Amino acid sequence: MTYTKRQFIALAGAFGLLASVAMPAAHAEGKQIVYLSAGLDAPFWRYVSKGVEAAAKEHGYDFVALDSRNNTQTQLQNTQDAIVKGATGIVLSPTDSSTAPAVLGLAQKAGVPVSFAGIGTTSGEFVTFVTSNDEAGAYDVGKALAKAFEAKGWKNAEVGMVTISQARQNGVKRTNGFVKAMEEAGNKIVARNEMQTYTADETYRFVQDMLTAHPEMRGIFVQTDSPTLGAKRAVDAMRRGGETLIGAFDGVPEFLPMIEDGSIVASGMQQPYLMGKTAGESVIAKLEGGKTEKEVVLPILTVSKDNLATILPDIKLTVFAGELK
Amino acid sequence: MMTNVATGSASQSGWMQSARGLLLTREAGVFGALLALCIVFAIASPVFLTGQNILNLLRQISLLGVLAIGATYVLIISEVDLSVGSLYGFAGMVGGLLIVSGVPEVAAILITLLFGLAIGAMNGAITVAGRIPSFITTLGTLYLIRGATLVMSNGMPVSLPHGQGAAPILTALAQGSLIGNLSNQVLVLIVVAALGFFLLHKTTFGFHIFAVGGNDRAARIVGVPVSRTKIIAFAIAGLLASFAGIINFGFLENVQPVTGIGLELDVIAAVIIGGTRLGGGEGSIAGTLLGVLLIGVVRNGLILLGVTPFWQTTLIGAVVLTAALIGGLTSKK
Repeated sequence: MTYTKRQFIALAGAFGLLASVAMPAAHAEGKQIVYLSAGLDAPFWRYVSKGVEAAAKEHGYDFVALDSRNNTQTQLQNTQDAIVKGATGIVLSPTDSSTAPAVLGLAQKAGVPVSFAGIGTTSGEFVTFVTSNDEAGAYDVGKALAKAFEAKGWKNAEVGMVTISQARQNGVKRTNGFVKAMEEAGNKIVARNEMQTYTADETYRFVQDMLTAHPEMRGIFVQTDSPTLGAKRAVDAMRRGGETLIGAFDGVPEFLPMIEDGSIVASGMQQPYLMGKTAGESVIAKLEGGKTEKEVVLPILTVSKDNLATILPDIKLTVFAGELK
Repeated sequence: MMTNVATGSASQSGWMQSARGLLLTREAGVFGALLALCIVFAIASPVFLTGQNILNLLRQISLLGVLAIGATYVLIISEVDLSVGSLYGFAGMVGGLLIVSGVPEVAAILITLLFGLAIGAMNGAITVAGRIPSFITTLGTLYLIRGATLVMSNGMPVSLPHGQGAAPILTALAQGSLIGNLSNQVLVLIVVAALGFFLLHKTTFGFHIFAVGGNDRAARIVGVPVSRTKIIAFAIAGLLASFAGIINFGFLENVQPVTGIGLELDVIAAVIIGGTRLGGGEGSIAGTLLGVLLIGVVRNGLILLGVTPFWQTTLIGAVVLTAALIGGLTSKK
């Protein structure tokens, strides 16, 4: 295929425009923190991104967020682009722990320090891994749910779970923590399904079918935020409101009125904004010769009707990145 | 094929009859497979054949059915629309944002449907005018619409205000039940299927659809408006995808930027299982409904049995392959 000069110029212009849209704040000569996100279509990673951005801006760094779209190849390309365009430090939330060493290898060659937010790495050199105690958080949600069962006089209750991927460490920890709390209280997990699309539609279908198969099911634990809205609809559609209680993990703004009216008994909320900010600050500390820690474990806040009013001012920032109206 | 189209109603009727005979055979095969699966699940799970579960199942497949009816038109004309899953999510997001921002509900629904119709027609027009394979056109639209959904939503879900009775018409349509416990969504599917059947099998436009899919050059020679027929087929698919998307929003009272990702594959699988030939020229609404039902039964039955969702995907893949093989063998005959 041959191009005329005019076509060539038009193509070059289009590529230039695309590049400028993709990395608007990139300055090869400036100080720049790049956040490589697993997938910015998930509210959680968006809030982490806001936290990294806040840390960068506070310390006078430019900030760029790149979206791996849950694709390892895209993650690697984004890393290369970030390094070529002058990233000074990287905060990484990898698509999967096993994909992180490749990013670390590229960054190490270029002398760019990397910190992790949310998901860690299986190997390689890094500055800090900022994480949450998923197991403790899920355990606390389980305890809150068990307490609600007791208050209603339900013993040996049947419970279902809609889990995130159990190939991920955080998924296994959330399952283990919740199962432990249920077992301690004498309740029984009778059904579980693992999300594939992470949508409310999918969780709706799972919960509806689980409730059909186990009509006595008293509780549902959904291991991540937006799909919980599907569980809530399924419980309502099956006319099980007040009869089947919901425990959740993480949070979207829609949770707050549902926690307030008891539709969601409790949600174990990680603090993604704080996670991003801490990871951003750690990589900046490394760049500026400050002290860093290898691992920072942030507490998970178990938010229920009882503590919502007290805890709301904190979670408005640390969970919802100041975006709550 | 060209001869059949050109030589009047007697030959047309003969051609249609033999095509119908073939489809009936394939539909009978799908029906047999569906029946076998139902028997297996009924034996394995005591709740599978309960009234409650059948009502759940019918509701669960209804929106997939609406999407699949639109896709049937596109596949019969020997094209494919990969953008319907993205359009489903996009429509929910557009409708949701309009309603949440205070646009009157009916206007918001109409605007959403117009978007769907226009995007579908655009898919058709680009494919026809640009002589681009619809696979490429709609792949582009898939990304375009998904990107637009992310931009509009800023990556966040959009929900109706909790417990405030917002969007009463839409929620009544999506959540209510006019007849006993039967979800309105099932009624929506029945109406759409009836209209789809009438349009495809009882009108000149439907005849044009089969003619274009069977051999578009021959159809053009005998005066069938090939380009217009293709554009309308895509427009119908777009309209129904947006209709399903806005109903889904009314049902869940929520839409995520990722809603509908991968749904196009379920839609295409349902249509193929139902006997529509990827090469065009063959297909039926009844077959598509059977395909949708088969996918729904597999999903529902496996969840009731507590089988991991990964096996659902595997089994649906096996069913699609089997359907394609049966289709291939039947066509050779």
